[in-house]
Amino acid sequence: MTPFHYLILAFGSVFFLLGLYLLVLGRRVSRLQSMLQEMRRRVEED
Amino acid sequence: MPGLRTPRWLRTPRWLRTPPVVVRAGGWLPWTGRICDIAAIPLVILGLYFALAYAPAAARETGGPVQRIFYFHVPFAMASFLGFAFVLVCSIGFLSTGRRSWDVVAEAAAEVGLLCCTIVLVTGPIWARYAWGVWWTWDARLTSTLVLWLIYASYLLLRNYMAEDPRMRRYASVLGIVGALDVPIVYFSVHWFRTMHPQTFITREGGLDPDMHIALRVGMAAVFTLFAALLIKRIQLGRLQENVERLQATLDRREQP
Repeated sequence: MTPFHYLILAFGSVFFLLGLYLLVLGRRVSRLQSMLQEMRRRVEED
Repeated sequence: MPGLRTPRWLRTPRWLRTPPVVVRAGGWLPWTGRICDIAAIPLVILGLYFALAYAPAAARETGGPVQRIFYFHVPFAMASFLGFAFVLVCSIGFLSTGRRSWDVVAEAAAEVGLLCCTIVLVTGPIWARYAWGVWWTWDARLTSTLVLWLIYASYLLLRNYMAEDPRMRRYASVLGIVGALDVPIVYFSVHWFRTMHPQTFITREGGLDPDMHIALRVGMAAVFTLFAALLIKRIQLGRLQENVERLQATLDRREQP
């Protein structure tokens, strides 16, 4: 591997990990939103 | 018919009728988070420019062109220390006051700190492979950083596996405090032990070129803004989660016969 490849690998992994974390946060937000919708449905059924 | 209306005390309270109200978070967090969000992207682009184009190339023995990862590797290491320092302070705050808001911040800081520590543990070996010829060596700095990562990974695992247990927050706080004691060991390991890892950069005698200092400062600004943006997002998510769980518990109680 050339130094350029190492550099791409290093910076690529930084942004890959950051992106992965943002994805995880996004999934948690959507899970909370579906919980809220479920609760709203239950309250409306009341 | 007015006579058949549900009595007022049986009606769903207004705050429960509109669950999305919990999404609204007051205080300084939302606007600070927004500023950090807006500032983080241009700062990261600027940091990349300074790291990849502005900073002069390093000598072959310090990694040559691969050394440019240093302008992000070091700031992420400092950000992880900051995250774990937050865990220490907030865990002490939680144990002394018992307020859940401290615990929410501690959990958020541990998670973002662990993310930064992961980035450090991934980028470091890539540089080491080029500079030293090996991906990993059981050097004091590397080993203590790995131990730090393992402590906070176990902190998050503990929180997940004991989620239903009322003692979870107390146990996690204790682990958070004990884990933070590893931060000074990681930081000073290059002085206390014989190590291959480059010496700390803060001292002026470190031999950094002035242009490298500038690139490092820009990298620091970018990574710390990103850290703040992620931490604030995670704190807001933690608060929302607490509110949703509270609402869910209230609903479950109401529906029990």
